[in-house]
Amino acid sequence: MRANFPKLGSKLGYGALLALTVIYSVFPIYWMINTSFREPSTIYTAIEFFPSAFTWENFSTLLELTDYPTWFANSVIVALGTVAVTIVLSVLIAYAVTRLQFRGKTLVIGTMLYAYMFPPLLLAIPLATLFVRIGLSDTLLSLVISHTTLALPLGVWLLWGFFKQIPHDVEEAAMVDGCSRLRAFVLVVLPLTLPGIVTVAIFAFLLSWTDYVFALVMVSSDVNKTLPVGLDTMVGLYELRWGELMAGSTLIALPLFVMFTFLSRFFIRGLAAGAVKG
Amino acid sequence: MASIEIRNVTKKFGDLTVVDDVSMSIDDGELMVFVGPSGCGKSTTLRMVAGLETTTAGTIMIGDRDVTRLDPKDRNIAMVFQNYALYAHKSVYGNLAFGLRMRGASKAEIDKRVREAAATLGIDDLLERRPKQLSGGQRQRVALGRALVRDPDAFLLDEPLSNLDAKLRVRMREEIGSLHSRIGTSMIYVTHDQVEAMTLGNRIAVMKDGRLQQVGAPLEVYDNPANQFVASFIGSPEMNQVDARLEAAGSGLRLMGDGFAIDLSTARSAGLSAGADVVLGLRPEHLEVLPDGAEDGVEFRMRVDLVEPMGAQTLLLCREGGTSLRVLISRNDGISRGDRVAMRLGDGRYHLFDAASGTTLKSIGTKVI
Ligand SMILES: Nc1ncnc2c1ncn2[C@@H]1O[C@H](COP(=O)(O)OP(=O)(O)OP(=O)(O)O)[C@@H](O)[C@H]1O
Ligand SMILES: [Mg+2]
Repeated sequence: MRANFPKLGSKLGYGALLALTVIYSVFPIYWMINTSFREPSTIYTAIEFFPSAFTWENFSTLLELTDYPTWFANSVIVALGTVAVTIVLSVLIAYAVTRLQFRGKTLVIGTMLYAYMFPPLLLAIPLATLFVRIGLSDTLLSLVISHTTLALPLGVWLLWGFFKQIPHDVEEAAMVDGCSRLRAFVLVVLPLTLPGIVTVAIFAFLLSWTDYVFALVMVSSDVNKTLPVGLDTMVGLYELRWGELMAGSTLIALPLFVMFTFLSRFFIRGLAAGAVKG
Repeated sequence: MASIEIRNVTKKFGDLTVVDDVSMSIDDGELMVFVGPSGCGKSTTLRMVAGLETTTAGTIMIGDRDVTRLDPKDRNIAMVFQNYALYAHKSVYGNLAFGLRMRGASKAEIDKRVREAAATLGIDDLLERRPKQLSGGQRQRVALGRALVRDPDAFLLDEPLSNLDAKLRVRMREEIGSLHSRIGTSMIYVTHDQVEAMTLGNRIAVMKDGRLQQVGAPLEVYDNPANQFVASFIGSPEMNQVDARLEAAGSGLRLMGDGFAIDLSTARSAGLSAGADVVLGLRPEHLEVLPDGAEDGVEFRMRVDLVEPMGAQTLLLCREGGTSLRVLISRNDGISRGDRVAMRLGDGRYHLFDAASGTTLKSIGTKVI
């Protein structure tokens, strides 16, 4: 009995800690969704944990007042573009690095990760100057390029970890079995790196979808705004309309929820494998 | 099915020559074993035949096709790798079917061939499993099966058994041997294990430092090794090698060494001349222990330093002066450490190598009448 007591205590402790963590991270999200469904007139007058009158009004005014569909489309284009370019480039680079023999390989790849030590703004401003020079400023392409620049180092590093684990034999076996080098790569190597590729895709999507700084610096015209920047124009322009703002945020977060529900297993597996072997 | 011909093939990695002017031909349906110590270039030679490594110089023919510049996929060979190299994301069935699919076989044809090969190798109940869910022996069978379904011109196997435990290795060796005699496809089998080479090969090719030392039937190589290296590499326990000098004695020759003197009859010394520094090679199984008190024909008198009972046979380590010999005899419980034994060359079998170059001066590997 006595021996069980501390066990029970520590179990309760863990439980409480877990509950606190969950509340800490989930509550703001919950509050956002909650607010987006409340009657706009009640938002400033009462604190409600559940909408007393459930309404879609915030969503409809949001769509009426703003270019939300355009921003959404822009965000999708930029995010998918970033994902596509990042995956293609990081697969090619990581594979080349795995098969190439040169001294200080690990160091070079490690150094790539230093890109993440700088605040985004520090990278965004010189990049923006560059884009002005080559006539790409205020385009969605400039955003795709910037986001790719940021997603690529992690992508290469992660996939490198995967490629390293795949024995060269397997590719050779496929070549003897009748594949060209490229076909062996596509049919035998790529499927084995799928968790890694999915992880990189999610990471790139997330980075691009939620990016505010680059979009703010690179894009000025309304038609080229992405969701986070677009939504920001509501602040001040129509005073602080919390209802619409929260409705907009909910819509931004929605694709991420859906994605994580289906792909989180891949994501965790990919991160774990990449990290251990990296 | 086809013969394979390797003509003056050389491979360099940068300045390093790892295969040096190797030539041999493998007959249609023959099982050729490449054997040699680690790093001698066996795998590299095999990989050049497979097309996984380019040749620096030379020509490789399969049948009457010059394949030297062809991609692996166009050579119509199948290969079994040391670490199996199975496709981890495919089932056993998928692994076996892959090569056929790549060659555009029909679904029905694939299914038939996969099931045949699986039945031959006894893996028909594993077809749905993933490689991860198989034991080492089962994986090895799948790797063999993947080669088998394809019905290629030749099988190339690179140390296919080295990851298995000793018992399983012997069993799989026998299976590969009987598989080969059943299907009759040319095979090149790489191993560093001379026992595997001796038991499996129709012929064996012994390599060292990228050079081909000797090609021949296993017993031919055992009886008449081309040089000191081949002599010591083939055969187990290893051949004894003792420094000696040839001296004239009467009408014949005498081998003088530290602690022994052997008179060679004219029949046994034909072609040799006195005054040469030589290395005497004696296989442990070719030394004969004489009964106590024997006087006639004694060539060695030595002290037993170590007795290793091996079951049916007993291995003795004998020493005299600066010379020590390993002697393999039928089980003999009467000999113990410290005994003195008298010995001679059984049936007069011995090998002589040139002390400087290591080439064989004389080999009497079979009984002299
Ligand atoms: N890609 C390469 N680059 C440089 N040197 C290589 C390469 N591949 C093999 N070598 C060298 O070539 C030599 C022969 O290698 P190989 O793999 O053919 O030996 P092996 O006889 O198969 O040995 P083992 O029994 O250990 O497998 C070795 O010294 C090896 O270091
Ligand atoms: Mg090898």
